[in-house]
This record gives sequence, structure tokens and C-alpha cells, in this order.
Amino acid sequence: MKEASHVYAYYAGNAHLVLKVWQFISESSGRPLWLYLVVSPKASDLLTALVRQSPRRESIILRELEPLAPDLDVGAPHLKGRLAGLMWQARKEGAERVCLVIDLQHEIEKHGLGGADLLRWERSCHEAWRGVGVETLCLHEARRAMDDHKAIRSIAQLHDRVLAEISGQE
Amino acid sequence: MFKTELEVLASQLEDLFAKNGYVITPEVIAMARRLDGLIAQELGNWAAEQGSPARSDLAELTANPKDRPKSTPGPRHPLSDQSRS
Repeated sequence: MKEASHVYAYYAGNAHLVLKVWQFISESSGRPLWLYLVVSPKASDLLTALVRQSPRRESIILRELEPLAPDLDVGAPHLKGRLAGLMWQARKEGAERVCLVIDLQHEIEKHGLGGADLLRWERSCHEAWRGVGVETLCLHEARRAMDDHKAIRSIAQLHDRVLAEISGQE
Repeated sequence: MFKTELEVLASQLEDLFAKNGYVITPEVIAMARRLDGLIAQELGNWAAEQGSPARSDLAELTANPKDRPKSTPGPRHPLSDQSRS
């Protein structure tokens, strides 16, 4: 079975975020696609407007999710259970591809996660995504990365390491 | 400097996108690619970005299917500044 892909991408502003999502889903070409969104209301509205304008609107279903709770003590098993439920729902409705779109900026703002805790939470999420079959797109605000890490490259290197760990485990 | 450029471009993209009624036009694509380029440059893979095929997956998606080109360059993941497992 083909492993679901997990991608990090970096954006600046909501319009750019939405276009990144659009690029991510561009491989679907008409197959029924469900997008579970963990993004800001503004980004969600923009994405809805974009889908509405698209010739592919019939095949794209958008569902907003509450930010994923950063319950670092419960961690991966709890998230895995929740994601499995989401996958089941989407498949039942005929989805051929299910993608989880997470704006890390939104998570940071909602839960105040930062630095080591954020990375720990990301690792926990990746652990949960493994084997569930959901594709993930983690979006990181480039300006936020500049503020927190002086350069996007620093945070991108951390993300690369997380992804390498995951692919090593799979 | 980089952050200021990002902010200006991001704001211009937001305005243009709204003005177009959230339709992906060539102008929107061009501006998004400039942002991608800036970020890619910051990530250190500018050379790879420059060497990539000059196609736009966004354009293909939004174009009328009848207007789409019959053949396109080989596949490249559309997120040029991505990390991917």
C-alpha cells in the first residue's frame, strides 16, 4: 500500500497559505477528496471561496476541525483514534483521498505551543498519522519562523529531521 | 529586509486574490511564485527552484479542461519549498 505523504510547507499570509493547499491537492484531478482543515477562520473562508470558484468543486469536500488538542501526556494514541474516526467518516462518504491541513501558526495561537513543546507535539502528531492513511500538510508561517528562529532554514531543518525519523520508522 | 519583502508581497497577493474574486489567475500565480521563490531562497534551495520546470500546477487546475495543454513537463511536486517524507 502506498504510504500517505506528509509535507511541510512555508507560507506568508492567508492567500499564500490557500494557494499552498491548492497545490498540495493538485494531484487529485477529480477524485473525491476530503480536506480536514485546522486553519484560521480567515484561511478557511478563503479556501471555501476558492473551491466554490473551481470547476472541481463537486469533488472537494471541506470540513473544519477544532485545533488538535496538544495533550502531550496522552499523545499519539488519542490522536490516532480521532484521526481513524475522521478517515472512516470520509471513506464512508466516498472520499478517495483524505488530507489533513494544519496551520501550525493557528495551533500556536490557540494553544500557546512554542519551541520544544511545539516540536514534541508535531512528533506526537506524526506518530498518530502513521498507518492511518491520512495525508498531511503542515503549514508554517515564514514570518513567524523568522521571529522564532531567526531563519526559516532552522525550523525547516528541524522539520526535515522529524520527517526523516518518520520515514525511517515506516 | 527579507521579512519586509515577504510582508509586502503577501499583502499584495491578498489584495489581488480578493480583487479577482478568489480565482487563480496568471497574476495570482506569478505573485505566489515570487513568494515561493523568496522563501525557497531563504531555505537555501534557490538553485533547485530556478532549475525547475516553468509550469504552474495552479494554472492547470483552474483552466478549462479543454484549454489545458495536451502535454506537460514531467511531474514535480508542486510545493517547491517543501519538506516531504
